[in-house]
Amino acid sequence: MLARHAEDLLWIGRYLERAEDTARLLDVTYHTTLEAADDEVSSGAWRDLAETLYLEDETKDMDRATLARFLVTDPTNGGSIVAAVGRARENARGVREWLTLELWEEINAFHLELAGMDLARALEQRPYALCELVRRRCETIIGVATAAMPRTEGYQFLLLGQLLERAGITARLLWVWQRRLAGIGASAGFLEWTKVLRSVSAYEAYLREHHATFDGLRVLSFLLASRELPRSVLYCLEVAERQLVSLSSGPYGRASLRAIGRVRSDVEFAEPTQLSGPSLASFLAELEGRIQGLGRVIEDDFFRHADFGLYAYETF
Amino acid sequence: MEGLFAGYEPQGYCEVITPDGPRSHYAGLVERLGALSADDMAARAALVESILRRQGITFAVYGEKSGTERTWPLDLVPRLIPAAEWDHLERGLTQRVTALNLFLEDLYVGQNTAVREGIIPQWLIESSPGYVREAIGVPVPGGARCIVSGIDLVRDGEGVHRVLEDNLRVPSGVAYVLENRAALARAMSMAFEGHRVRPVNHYGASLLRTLSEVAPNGLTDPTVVVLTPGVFNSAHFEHVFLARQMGVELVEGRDLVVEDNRVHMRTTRGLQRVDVIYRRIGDESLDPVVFRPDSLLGVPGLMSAVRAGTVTLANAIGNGVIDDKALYPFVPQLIKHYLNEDAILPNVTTYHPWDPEQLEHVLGRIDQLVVKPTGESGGYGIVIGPKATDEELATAAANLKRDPRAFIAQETIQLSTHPTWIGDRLEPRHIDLRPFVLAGKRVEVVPGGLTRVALRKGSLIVNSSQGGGSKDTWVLGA
Repeated sequence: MLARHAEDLLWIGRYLERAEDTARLLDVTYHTTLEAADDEVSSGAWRDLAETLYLEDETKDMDRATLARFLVTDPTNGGSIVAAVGRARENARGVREWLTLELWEEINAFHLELAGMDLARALEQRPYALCELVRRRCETIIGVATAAMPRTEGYQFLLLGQLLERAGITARLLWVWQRRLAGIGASAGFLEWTKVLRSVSAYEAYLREHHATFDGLRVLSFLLASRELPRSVLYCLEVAERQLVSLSSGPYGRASLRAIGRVRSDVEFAEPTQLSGPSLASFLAELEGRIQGLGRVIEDDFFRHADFGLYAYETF
Repeated sequence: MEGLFAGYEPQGYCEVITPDGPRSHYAGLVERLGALSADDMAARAALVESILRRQGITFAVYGEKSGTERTWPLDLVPRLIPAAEWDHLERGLTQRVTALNLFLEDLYVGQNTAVREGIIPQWLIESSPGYVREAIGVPVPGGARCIVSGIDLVRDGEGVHRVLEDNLRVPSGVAYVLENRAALARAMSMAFEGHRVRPVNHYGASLLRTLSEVAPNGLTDPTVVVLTPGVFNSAHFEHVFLARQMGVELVEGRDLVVEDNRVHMRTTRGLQRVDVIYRRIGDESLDPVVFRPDSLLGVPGLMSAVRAGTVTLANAIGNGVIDDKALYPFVPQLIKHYLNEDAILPNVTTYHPWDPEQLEHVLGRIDQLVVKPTGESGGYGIVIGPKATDEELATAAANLKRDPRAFIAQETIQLSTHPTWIGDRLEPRHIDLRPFVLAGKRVEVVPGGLTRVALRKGSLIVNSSQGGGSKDTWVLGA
């Protein structure tokens, strides 16, 4: 398929995942801070949220309401929900021949729905309902794609984008979370455990796996290296790797396979010593950076071949 | 007549209703529509709007706030063409496109006999902005130049179909023909029964076959692509639609690269050969090396591949000379010259003001004529004499005297009218018809075409960029 189309599809996957994750993280932050012990805990949670989304610099001086609006409605924030959905729709328009009609309609209708809403008001009055709406719509879109798209390159790049974004967000979340825990120390309570688990829709799954017994290493291992949890870093990398195996052909994709295989096995076979004590912070920081780097390797590998000639780098 | 048609007053040449009642081919439709209530129609209109909007069937309007998108306006009342009438139109269109293709072939790579034998002055061709010198002497595969054409037809006050203009560069609108049918089939399904409406949804297959027929070097399974200027083009929706219908890639200039005089596209698995390009960008943007160097839409080196004969462009470069309205008056003579036949479909009576005698005639009757710029399309810059103010007429007259080559003047045609759903009732509105003609190894006309409606009361301008709407167009079974 056309390299540009593949790239657009990959980014549709990323944008939708970004919108969905932003909604979920926002929802979790809202509702856990309602029960926060004091203002310190609560403002810490909002700072963590900004940092999980790599927006700590842009949002340094914002109060909570402003930050929430920045994450949802601000068009200058390229990752805001409105911007991400708008970009997903713009990309979808450019690759419509790869999408089924139902899938395009779902994306377009979601964009139009958001454009027709008073989002600032919705955010103020019923933040839960808004976050729920965004999550549901994103899930529906992916559901429609899963139900109807043939498992050819188009679908695989869409899925790849979603998985890379998801793996990146989970890894980042864990990094921000371990730092918070390190600050709190032994007093880390139920609130912190449930918050991180809910942030990736893993609370109920964790209860079934480990019952209601919480400790840092268990929660961490679960979110990092569970083979069953759809948002664990390992799960995302494994499924992404399978897409890359099928997308690769001869020299195209070799570097990507090498890169993802290495990250995946480092997560899969991480030593307990790496996941505790002083090594944990550097393990997670490095992991998050490598997942980001993986995205760039894949882009160079599939979208910017050396044999594209003189004009490739200027025009892409 | 009853129900919705009660009290309907036809205007001019009405396609549907005569003083003696509905025309016979419309009888069934009038009966079925007449039985509906206004509320029912309003609900159906809302359904059509929501179908089209949800699918993103919109068009951008230039000159308005950037990014303005309007839902494509589709009227609930279809326009019907009986089999015998269509047969006449089909023969006329085939004849016209065949002759124009021969003329272009003769002009660019032949003996230029139309000029040599004094039918068209050479200076008129050379002064046409659509005449491309770089195309002289460059053969095209199979001699096919007008591969996809859109010929605009109008019906005059006497009911005679006439050709209003030829679009041999990149005519748009065919996607709406198919989408109109799909939407109307959902919203007005009960109206179809018994009409044996000829289907249109095979267009994608016909287009792909036509494009494949004219592949370079007789390739039998060529790689075909659609080349679009990108998502900001007003017809982008259609470009996507056609690529989907054909199951081929929709590329932009930046996806293509020319190496060793061959065109390739950049895929996830490296470069892949491209044989036929259905290009939806103008000649001037095709290749920045040869044409406009500031254009980012095209493909550097594309012209070298065209010259080497390794790629087919549809349509060929240089067809714009015919879209130049200054050449339009000569088409009936070209048909006679190249086919030795009389034109089946007459032109609208047209004057060329570059001839001093005709200029004088035009200036004397300017309040009765339509003055059109020769280089514009989309209904821009037209002055309709009977409707213009004295000031507008004075400006038009001054323009004509200053640059007579830049205009033509035509007798005002009272376009036929058709009942159209406006708000809460049926009202007469003027319509035209743009059929689409595919010409590879043989000529195929898509049944019907795009019927455009001037939604403003009394307006004769049907272009969608000027507030026009559309109708589903049914060619009826014999």
